[in-house]
Amino acid sequence: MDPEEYRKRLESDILKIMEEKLQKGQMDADRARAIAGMVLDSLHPPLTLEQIYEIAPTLDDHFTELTSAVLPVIQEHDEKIKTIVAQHAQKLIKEGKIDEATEAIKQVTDN
Amino acid sequence: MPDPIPAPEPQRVTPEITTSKPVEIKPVEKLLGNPEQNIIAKIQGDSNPDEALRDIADTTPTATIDKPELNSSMVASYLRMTDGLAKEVSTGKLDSETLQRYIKAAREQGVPPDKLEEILLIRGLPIARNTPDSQSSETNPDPNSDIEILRRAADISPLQVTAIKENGDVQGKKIDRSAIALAASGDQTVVRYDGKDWYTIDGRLRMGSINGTPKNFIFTNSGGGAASFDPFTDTYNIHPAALEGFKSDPESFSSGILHEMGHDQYMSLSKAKQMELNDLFLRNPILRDALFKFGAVLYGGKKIAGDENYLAAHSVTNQGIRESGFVTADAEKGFKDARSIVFEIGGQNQEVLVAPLVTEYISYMSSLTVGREVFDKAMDQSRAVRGTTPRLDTIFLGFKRLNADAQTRQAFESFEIFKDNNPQLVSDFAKVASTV
Repeated sequence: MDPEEYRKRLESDILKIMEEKLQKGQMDADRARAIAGMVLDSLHPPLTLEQIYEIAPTLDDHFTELTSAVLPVIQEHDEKIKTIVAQHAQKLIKEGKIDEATEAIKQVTDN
Repeated sequence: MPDPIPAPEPQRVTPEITTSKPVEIKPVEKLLGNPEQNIIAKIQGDSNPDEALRDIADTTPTATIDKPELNSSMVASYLRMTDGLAKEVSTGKLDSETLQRYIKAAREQGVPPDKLEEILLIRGLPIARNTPDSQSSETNPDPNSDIEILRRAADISPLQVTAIKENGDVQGKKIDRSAIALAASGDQTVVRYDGKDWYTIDGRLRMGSINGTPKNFIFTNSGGGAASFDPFTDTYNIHPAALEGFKSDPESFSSGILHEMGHDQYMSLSKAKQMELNDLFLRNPILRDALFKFGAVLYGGKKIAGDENYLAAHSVTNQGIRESGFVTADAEKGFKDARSIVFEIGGQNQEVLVAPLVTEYISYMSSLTVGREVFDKAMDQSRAVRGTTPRLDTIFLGFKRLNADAQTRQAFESFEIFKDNNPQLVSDFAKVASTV
């Protein structure tokens, strides 16, 4: 996926949360402003996908209402890592490097 | 001197209070202010999320809370934060970790611990009680200090209200008030209906004027308590203890009579206005909490000899209450909001009308309205007689919450419950009392 597209999708998800909470009276203008400022600072383009994956988990550190926007990014990143490691492990197994394959899989599952 | 005769039943107000299906307590509806609506419009209007975020970040900060006594920039800044947090608490979205971070930040900004805790308690953030700062550093703290009162109030459990009944089928009944007349008869007062003697009150009738408004007073020859207001005859009963109190401490007396005038003003409100005032307490989570704390003390608190049984007096299941004209027509003085609250107390389900609870709560704030010294005297008196001050603690909490922000304060003041709170009250009453 294009990193810029991905970054904007994350921002849009955050805006959706803000809109919903503002409409329900669960967020005030001051907090919305603080969140907007923080997101602009944190997700300042250009960013690589890896950078986005690294930054995303920090977005809800101070604004816990953003967790539902951040979580899919973290899960997606985890899935990607798992897929890459699984492919790598398969290659190692085919090469007869069973111990190395086991260690690689263990590192992912431990995390 | 006419003997008391039975009241003419058909003319008395006899509301048919039926128990309709309980309705769930409605969540508090949030009124969105302009800043919030503007931001929503920006989100919906900008297709580019970067631009939307920039527009939001560039919006002008909202005004700070109007609280003159806390005018240092540090506290004002903290208040802005707690205002946002209070909303999160009210919607059950409070993250305790976030709150603790704010508390820590406020401490670092130099907000005094007691002041910080006071703000949090007024804002309805009881979590502050669990902070290390919640313990007073003083060995013998002043029991009448703001923070000590608020701490005690925070420890009082509110009524666990399970439902608010609308009782929409209750209709106020109109009676012909013009047919009621009062007549002095020596040391007695005769209440007449439609030209006939109805019943007699053991007290001297005096007509007076308070702040330019004609009022009836009956200076009773006996009877406990200080003063009372009877909406049926539109009369203030001044008991002997009240008259003595007026002579020795006019300021405290003015608080007592203002309490009764508060009832008079509340009962004079139209049904729509009464409901609006009651909603101010029922729909605002921190005022509702304070009201139900007061209710818990009023209905379930420790009783001493001579205490009025408010639970029986406010209960819709009390036959005597139902027959004495509990819900009145819009044009009359009385309770017009038929809503009731259901809760359990002492292992039994109880149901009381909202209106008498609210007017009692408000009227008890008269001492704070007159002045802090008067309230402190009431506190000292309660401590001497009862050993504790829970009722006054909850009143203080509610008074602080009513005045915590300009919007709520202005909404409350628009009902003019304590419009007669001025020096003229005492001098006008002195003129009436001098004739007794």
